[in-house]
Amino acid sequence: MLMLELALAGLGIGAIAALAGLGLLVTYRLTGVFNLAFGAIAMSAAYLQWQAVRVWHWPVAVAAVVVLLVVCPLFGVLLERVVFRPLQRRAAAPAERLVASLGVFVVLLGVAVLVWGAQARLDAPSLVPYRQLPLPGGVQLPLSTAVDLAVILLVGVALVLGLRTRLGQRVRAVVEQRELAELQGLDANRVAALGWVIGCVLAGVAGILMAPTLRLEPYGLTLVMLETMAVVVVARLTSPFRAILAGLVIGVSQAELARVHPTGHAGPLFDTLTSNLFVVALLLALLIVHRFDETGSTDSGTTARLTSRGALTPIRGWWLVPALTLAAPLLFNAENRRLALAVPALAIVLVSIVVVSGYSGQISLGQAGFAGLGALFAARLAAGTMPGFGHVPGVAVLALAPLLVVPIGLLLGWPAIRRRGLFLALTTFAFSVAVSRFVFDQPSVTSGLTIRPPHAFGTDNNFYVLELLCLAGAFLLVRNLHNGRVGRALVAVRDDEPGALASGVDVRRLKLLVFAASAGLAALGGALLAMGSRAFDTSAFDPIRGLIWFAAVVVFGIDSAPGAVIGAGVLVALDAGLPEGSSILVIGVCAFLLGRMPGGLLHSVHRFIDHSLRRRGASVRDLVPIAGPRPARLTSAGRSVALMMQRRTAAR
Amino acid sequence: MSASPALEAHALCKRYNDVVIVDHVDFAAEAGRITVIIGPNGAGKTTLFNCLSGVETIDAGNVRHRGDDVTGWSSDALSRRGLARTFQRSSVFPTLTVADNLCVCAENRTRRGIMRGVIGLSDPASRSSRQTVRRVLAELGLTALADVPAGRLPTGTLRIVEVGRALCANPDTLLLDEPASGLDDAETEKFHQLLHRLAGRDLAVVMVEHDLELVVDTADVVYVMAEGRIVVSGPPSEVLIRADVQTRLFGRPT
Repeated sequence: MLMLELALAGLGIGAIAALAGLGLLVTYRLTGVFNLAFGAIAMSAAYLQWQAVRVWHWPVAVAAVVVLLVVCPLFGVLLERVVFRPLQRRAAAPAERLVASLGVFVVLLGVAVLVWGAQARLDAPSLVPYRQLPLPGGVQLPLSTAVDLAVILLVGVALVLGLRTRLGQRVRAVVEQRELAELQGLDANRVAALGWVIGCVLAGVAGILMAPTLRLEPYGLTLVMLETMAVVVVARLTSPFRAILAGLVIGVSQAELARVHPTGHAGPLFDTLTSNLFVVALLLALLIVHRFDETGSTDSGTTARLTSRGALTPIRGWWLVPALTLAAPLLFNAENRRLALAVPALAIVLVSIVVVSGYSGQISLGQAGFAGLGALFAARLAAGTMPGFGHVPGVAVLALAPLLVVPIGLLLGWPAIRRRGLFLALTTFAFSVAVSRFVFDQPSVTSGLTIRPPHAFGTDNNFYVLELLCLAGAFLLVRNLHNGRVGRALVAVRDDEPGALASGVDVRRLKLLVFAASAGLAALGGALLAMGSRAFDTSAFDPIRGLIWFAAVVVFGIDSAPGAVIGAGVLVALDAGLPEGSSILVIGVCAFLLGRMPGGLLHSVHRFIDHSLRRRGASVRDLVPIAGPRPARLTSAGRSVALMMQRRTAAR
Repeated sequence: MSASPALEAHALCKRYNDVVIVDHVDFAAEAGRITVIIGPNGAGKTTLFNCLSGVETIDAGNVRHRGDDVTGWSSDALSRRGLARTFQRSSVFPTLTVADNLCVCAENRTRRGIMRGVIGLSDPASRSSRQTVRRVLAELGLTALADVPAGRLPTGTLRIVEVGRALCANPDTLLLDEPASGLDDAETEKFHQLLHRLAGRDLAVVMVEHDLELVVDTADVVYVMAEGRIVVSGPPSEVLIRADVQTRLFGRPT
């Protein structure tokens, strides 16, 4: 009977995972956005529920109704109005929407940390009273699991049937071909808002049902929700029933495997594998699944149109801003300089994101993993405990550690780069989670590790100079990747991949090269980050941290390396001067508003300066529009013309 | 040199799921000749192009380039081999200047030198690439536009830029997918002369084209394609007057 009871316990976990995955899938189908904020919305709903019940002492049912039927729908409408509609208006690439959802994610996380603190709470109110339902055969099923199962079944059936109704058809039309749907007279905005409302309510349901089983904690709960992406990947973003089945199977296997305890060296590893079965499943699924059934027609995972390149005339001497940012700490007092040690290191990590996502147009959400590995390798190399290496002296560590990370980058990039961009985004994130769980969280790997700056650069001042030298080296590499033959080829790939292939550019090799270089840069930055803080701190390389870094890079201009330096300065300064969570919040709010400031914060400032200070009159270049898809706003006359042209093309 | 054609396909097949798009096509393009594929919409012309140029995988059959089997080669490898193409929908790089658009193709004729670029050494072939670009720009009359970002140019000019880009691969075989669409009469006339100059230089030019006037003026060989098959091929003067071809192209006579 033990087997059956374990299976039922696993069913509880599986049902929650299935519910979260299903919610993510439904959101994707209804909005066309792979909503990275799904976990954060769920987390926020759970916190609101906690606040209402535990602090304001509302009855559980009332709180749930308010949160799920008032707050969540309003938030959905707000998201559509403020974040996604402006993006839609200027026909933003799907990748921009992915990033905007990342912005929502970061905002919610920042708010949660600021309001409720980062510590875990164990008293999340349960919506379902604790009761056991007796089943035939003498086993018992917790009522909460039964409720979870009922909810997922309901959502699955509603999705399949709902998409067949007239309204469902409209939703699909808007998601697949928004312009055509609008030509047919559909109010696409309202349909999209409906999609977001449903998506947010489902996230809220998942969060509130999940919180009592797990700990209520901003980072933890969000991350757990993100892990259930495994379920969505198995379902190839389409089949709700496959998602449900995957969730239940993984949950039950996890419970069953927990019974097995192999002895010896394999023991701890096996335990880690089973307790992180969703991460394992996510990695495996990403390797096995070949194609997503994505909505729309364009690749949702490239950053092609996030770039600001060529749009404005550069302002002379603007590089002084990042240069001064870096020079200032040399004049600081000892305490502040210690804090500023993080700036060049973080700048290198952010530059690594600029290289892979800005120049090469691939979304990599896993830089925290590479940075952490760089720090880990550096620490072990310096201590002489890296297998296969003896004691490596001082500065050589900084060269060797990134070189060791590069092959890992190649190994990860090889399968992912052959597929569409969303794959790479998810694979890199899954990698970051896996490294964090299987390497950084293993006491045998990281316990007792100390790391300090190389002997010759022991004082803070000298170490800062060493960091600046490394940053200069990074900038040299970046310049080589941005200019000349490589840079041109990269822009070509980003602008038009078939065209680049037809021009003889070996796109796959080029992408892989850039990906590996970026992994090496991130490792260098990570090693410096750990040396500066004189400790290998696993939480500094948390997967969520990688998402925040990515959002920061987008905000400060995804293809601007000097922007990354400014971004690093701002992040470190905000963290030092303000309460925990505020730097996250600032980045999040900026990312939130990407729809209104294309090209990022600095680019918008630049454009503002360009417009207000232009002395020699408007340059012709700015008046001629750049070719590209037009925004989908048409007057009624425009609509009939478009319809006519469409008919004519069809007839030809 | 053997007498094998520049580009040759044998029993080429391409399916999407169960729909056969290209059905046992035999095709050959000779050096120094202009070969044109015509046919109604949906006949599979562009898909045939994509199969020939490695953009799409082939389900059955084989492709030979200068006598060597290149079946299954990728599009970039074929381009480096001298089989260049343009697209029906413009594929120029809008944020690069016209000169840089051409330069991308010229400097990627070989894969060597990429790593040198990464570590900051100069590309040994960059001078010859620059020369190629200058020569092609002059030949196509684009020199004045060299430093203009391609995204700011009208469609007709973009067509020419794309042809120029393909020419920078130093190709022996040039595939052009509806190159004259979007050109005005004067541009079409100039384009017509360019095609003859290229064929005179022993290039094999293969074209998908709807403008029958241009086809009659330029083509040495015409392939008529319908429903995935080659219906008939031969010199335009013989092919285009056939009643069954006319029915295919213009519908039944009334």
